[in-house]
This record gives sequence, structure tokens and C-alpha cells, in this order.
Amino acid sequence: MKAAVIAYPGSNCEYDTYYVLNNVLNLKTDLIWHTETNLKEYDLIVIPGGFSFGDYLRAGAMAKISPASLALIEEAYKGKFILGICNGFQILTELGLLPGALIVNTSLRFICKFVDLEVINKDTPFTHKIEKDVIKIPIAHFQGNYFIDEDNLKKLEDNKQIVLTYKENPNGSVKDIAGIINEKQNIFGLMPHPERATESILGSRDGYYIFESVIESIRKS
Amino acid sequence: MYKVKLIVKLKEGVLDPVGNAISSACRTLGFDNVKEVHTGKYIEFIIDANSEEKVREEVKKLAESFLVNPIIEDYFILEIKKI
Repeated sequence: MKAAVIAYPGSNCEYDTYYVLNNVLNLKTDLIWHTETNLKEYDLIVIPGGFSFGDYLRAGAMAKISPASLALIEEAYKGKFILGICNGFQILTELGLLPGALIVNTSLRFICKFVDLEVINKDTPFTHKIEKDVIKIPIAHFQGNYFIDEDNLKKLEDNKQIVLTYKENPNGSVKDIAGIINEKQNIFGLMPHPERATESILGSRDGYYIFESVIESIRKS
Repeated sequence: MYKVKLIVKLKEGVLDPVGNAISSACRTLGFDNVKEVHTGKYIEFIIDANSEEKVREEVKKLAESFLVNPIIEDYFILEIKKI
């Protein structure tokens, strides 16, 4: 069992994410540069946070044409587990692997703080090990305002694809959405940073259970 | 060669926090006639092609492949000029 963390020019959470997978969860992990064209050997592919290509044009817009993103699409369609954190979530929506888009926060401010998140759906490969109903994980973003039109929002709700919502909406997201999953439940994107909340010394361990959930899901599959 | 001016703007109904901030600044400064403000992007290209039709095709492909996110944005060509 092996994971990959894809780093783009401008990613800045790739080492944290690598450390968490490799050292905290003891999952063999490779740090992959965005020019990589083959991701076949990985069971889990993570797109970390940061500002890929400086967020030029739109957050994630440039990253979607990197070779590693195209390789990721191939693996995503095979049903491999894909996790997009913050900028990774933005990239997954730009790739069309998750519905909707992430736009500028209503406050026009970069927000970096711990937030309380309601776990709306615990019955997913990424959340089944979470016991609490409300978890504490930090956010750090300027473009985390989730937008989706009404018809597609209804689909998300009907299919139970809304996984995490903010207790207090920090950025203007539709329906307080903080994280969603695709219909097949193998692709999960969220604005909060679970990798920054995996050891008690960091103020919360709630993020740990997201990684633990997906690792157990890989084991079972 | 053609010079192309492209405008990308947020779709109607998509929240435009930058537009709203400018709008409220207008009110603060006393420009009470300003009722709404919308913001977008301006992109200029120099394209080597034989005809205007080919340029339009090229720009459409560019826009749809990554310059525009159709979920939140619309685009239109402001001007095409032979240079």
C-alpha cells in the first residue's frame, strides 16, 4: 500500500502532508513532482494545500493542465482514492472531478484559524473512523467560498455528498459547505487542513481520523 | 496577425466580493449614482492566423480549455483587430 503527494510549483503543504502520511500514519508515501506522468502504483493520491502556480487566473486553473493532474484523472476513473486539501480541493473542482467551484471569500480576507466542522456524512471511505459529530480543524485560505448552482446543489444533497460543513460560515460558502465527496465516494475535497490537526501537540487530533479512515478503506478494498 | 481582447466575467448570480467592495467604496466616496459594480478579467492575445474565423476558433478553444471556468464565469471577445 502506497500513497503519493503531488507537489506543484507553489504548493506549500506537501511536506506536512507527506510527514503525516509517512510518519504519523506509517503509510509508505512518495512526494511526486507535478511533471510525473504515471501514478499507477499508488493506492491513494493526495493533492496538498498551497498556491499552485501562484493561484494565477483562478486557484487551481493552471495546475489542472500539469501532467500529474492528467495522470490523476486516469487513476480517479479507475476508482483510486483521491484526497484534495485546500488548494487540492480547488484543483479537483477545476479538473471537474468534484462539482462546483471555489471563489474569493466574501470578506476579501485570507482567513487562517481553527474552525468547528459538522461531520454530515460519516458513512464515507474518508470519514467512517470519525466518532465526534463536530471536529476542530484549521482553515487557511483566500478562495474557499464554495459555489454551486441550485440544481447541482440538490444533487449533492440527495446523494449525501456534503461531508463537512462549517458551524460558523467563515467564507460565504453555499450551505456552509467545507468538504464534499463525489458520487462514487472515491474522491474527497475539503478546504480545512486535516494534516495540521493530526497530533495533540498541534491543538487537535481530529484530522488524523480522515487519514485513518481512507487508509482502512484502502486495506478493505 | 491579430490582436484579440477577451473579457472574462463572473456569471450573473455568482457572488462578486470584489465588485461589492468597490460598490461600497463608491458609496463611501459619495458616488451615489453608482448602483452596481461587477468585476472581471481582461486578457489580450496576439495570434498568428490566416483569418478572423480561425482566431475566433482558437480563442474559443483557449477559453474552454482553461481560461474560463464555465461554472462561475462567462466570456466574450471585446475586439479582434488585424495588425
